[in-house]
Amino acid sequence: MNGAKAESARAESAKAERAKAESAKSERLGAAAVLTLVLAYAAFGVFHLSPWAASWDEVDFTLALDRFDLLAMQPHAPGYPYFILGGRLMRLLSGDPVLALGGWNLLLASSSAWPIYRIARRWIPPVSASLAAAIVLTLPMNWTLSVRPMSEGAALALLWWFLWSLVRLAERRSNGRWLAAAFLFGLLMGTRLSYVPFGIGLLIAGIVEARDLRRTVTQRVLRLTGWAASAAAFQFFWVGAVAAAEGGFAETLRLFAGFGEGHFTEWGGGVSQAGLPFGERIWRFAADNWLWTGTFARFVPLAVITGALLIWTAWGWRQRWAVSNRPNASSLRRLTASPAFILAVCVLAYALWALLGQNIAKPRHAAPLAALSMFALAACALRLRIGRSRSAAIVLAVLLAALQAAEGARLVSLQQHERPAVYQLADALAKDSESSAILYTWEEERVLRYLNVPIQTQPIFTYEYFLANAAAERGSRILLTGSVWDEFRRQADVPAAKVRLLAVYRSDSRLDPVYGTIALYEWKG
Amino acid sequence: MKLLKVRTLIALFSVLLMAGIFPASAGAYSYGNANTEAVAETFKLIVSKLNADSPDWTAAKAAYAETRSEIDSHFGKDVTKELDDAFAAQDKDRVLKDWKGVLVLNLDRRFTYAEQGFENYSDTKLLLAKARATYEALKPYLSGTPAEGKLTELDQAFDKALEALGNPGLLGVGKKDPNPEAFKQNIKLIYDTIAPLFPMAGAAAGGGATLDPTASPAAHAPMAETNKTNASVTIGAIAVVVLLAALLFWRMRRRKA
Repeated sequence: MNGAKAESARAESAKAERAKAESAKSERLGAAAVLTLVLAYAAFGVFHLSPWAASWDEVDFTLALDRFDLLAMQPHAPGYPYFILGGRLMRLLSGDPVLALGGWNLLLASSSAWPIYRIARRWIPPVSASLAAAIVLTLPMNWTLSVRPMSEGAALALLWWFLWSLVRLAERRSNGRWLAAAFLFGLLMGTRLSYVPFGIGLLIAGIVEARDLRRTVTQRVLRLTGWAASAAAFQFFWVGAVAAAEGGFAETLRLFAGFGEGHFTEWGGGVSQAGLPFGERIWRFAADNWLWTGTFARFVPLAVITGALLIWTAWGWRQRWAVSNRPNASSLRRLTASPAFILAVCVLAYALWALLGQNIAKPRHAAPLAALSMFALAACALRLRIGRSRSAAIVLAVLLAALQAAEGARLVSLQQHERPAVYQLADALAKDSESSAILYTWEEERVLRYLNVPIQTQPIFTYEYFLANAAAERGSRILLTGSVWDEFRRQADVPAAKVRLLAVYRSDSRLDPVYGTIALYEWKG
Repeated sequence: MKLLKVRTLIALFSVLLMAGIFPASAGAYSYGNANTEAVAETFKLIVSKLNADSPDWTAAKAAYAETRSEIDSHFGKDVTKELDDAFAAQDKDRVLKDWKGVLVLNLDRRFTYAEQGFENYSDTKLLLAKARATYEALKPYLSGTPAEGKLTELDQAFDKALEALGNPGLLGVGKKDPNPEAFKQNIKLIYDTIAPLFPMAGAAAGGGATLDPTASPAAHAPMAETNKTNASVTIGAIAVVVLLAALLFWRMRRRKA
């Protein structure tokens, strides 16, 4: 009797031993897969860094590497100090400021494979987790961001590191884990302030801690005070750095405020503002910015295969739910303190903010949503356990990753090789310049000045003022860009015969949604 | 459970509110935007209104009335008297000529204080930006003057003047020392090129003023801006957030009791 017991115990432990060895092996395999992904991603990126500073924001960041000056909008408020410092660091490797910023993005983006993998490991086995990381990193539009001089590349990467620290904090609320999360949130905010809604994750962790009855009230008050102070300190550090660079706190805050005003009321003009009805705005945000452009890069096969994976996953989960217990009150309570719930709330908060507060003309504002929703889909799909549905999900996920990688690589390479429309415009102006020509432009002006076009460029907002200037400049040749001409026609009843179309410059509108097509007109008066 | 949901919603809402309302209330400020200078913006507006085939004198006068007190206090009664007369006569050319003269006076005012307060980096930078905005408003009228071919040179002089302010650096990276001499030279070049081109019609005041820090008529501090802060919006936003925090706290207390 005793012998049999001992025997079965031995068998048990041998089995456990084997399982442990097995899982250690698979863990190593997963880590190796992630490492390979990181290296391949970095190697491909190094040879495909975008050489262009083709938008207002990109020029802002690029100029900031030489002279940090918020008032001169290099960069614009709130300063993005960690992004600029990273770019300056990378400048030791590459003298070109555009490549340096892209390189910094690439470095961080490659590193973000690790936190994505670690978060995915909460729900899915190692090799599947590395597949999820691959799916997130090869999202075509986000991939292009990781090799161009926009702060989104670095911010998306830091976001993953921050989310990982949040997940760890949700699992065990220690002071060390809080400090790590608060520190990473400081890095994230000092890289891209518009990701601030993700801070709600810290808030939830604080609330859960406040309700934790295992500690006395005094203990909790002390802990939370310390937590809040440390989180605030990490934010003040970068704000302080910006203020010191700008010459004073009061001035800097006023600049932030002034920029906020312009940024939220007049930035970009066009479709971004109140003119768009709310329903249409939601549609455009969800259907275009988030899904069609942001996730699928307007590539039909990607949409099809993602849709297939989604349907398959939903079907598989329905079956699982049918066999497992229905959720009850206690399982729901556990859910609200779980990492998955915190991530979901973070995403929801950001989605609302991006919908209501960000310029809808720019799909890159939906980049975190694309990344996190694909992550969620991959995690759910690869978590399916029932035999056949699991294999099919894996096959679909691998296909998705491969297709995405191919299309993403194509888009990244296109971004590197295709001369942006505004550069083409600058070339044309440089070639055919009468020194007395004046070009009236809108946001393109920033890039044209950066490229040192040999003619006068002037931003203009109202038709009336333009007419007054044109009257004063009778001797000069007057040129207009398409965005200016369109705006004039909105403001006044201007006959089309007033201008002559000289040329239209085009580049891929996924890579430059606002100025991917630029028309050049000559004013005939 | 229900309580938790409510609390989460409140938290979510307050974060969104904080993120959303503060930039909105910040709209009350006009100071931070370096690209605007009240006098220059008024000039642009007046030019726009008067340029039409049938000049809109009502709008032009209203625009002038907005800035009249600022002009009066900074440039003296003679200047406003001349402008008053020009507007009263509805003489378009005279009004525009006078206004260009006002812009030159404004350039002088910004440069003068920038030079005087050179040690104060952020103030000087702002004054220089405002001077530049003033210059940009005058730019179209340089065509057909001796300065026409010098636009690039003038643009570069502004860049060099900015460069001469130095830079405190970002966490010590990129620190540059100021160069007061280069600054003086460049603003003098700009002023001396532009000022003689736009005398006021009345030649009463300021016309032909040289860039001399000690001779400035202004009794105002250089940074005296018309502050358009809408305090009630900001206070309202803060009150709402405080209220939400109190509600949150109260619910937690009640839950414990």
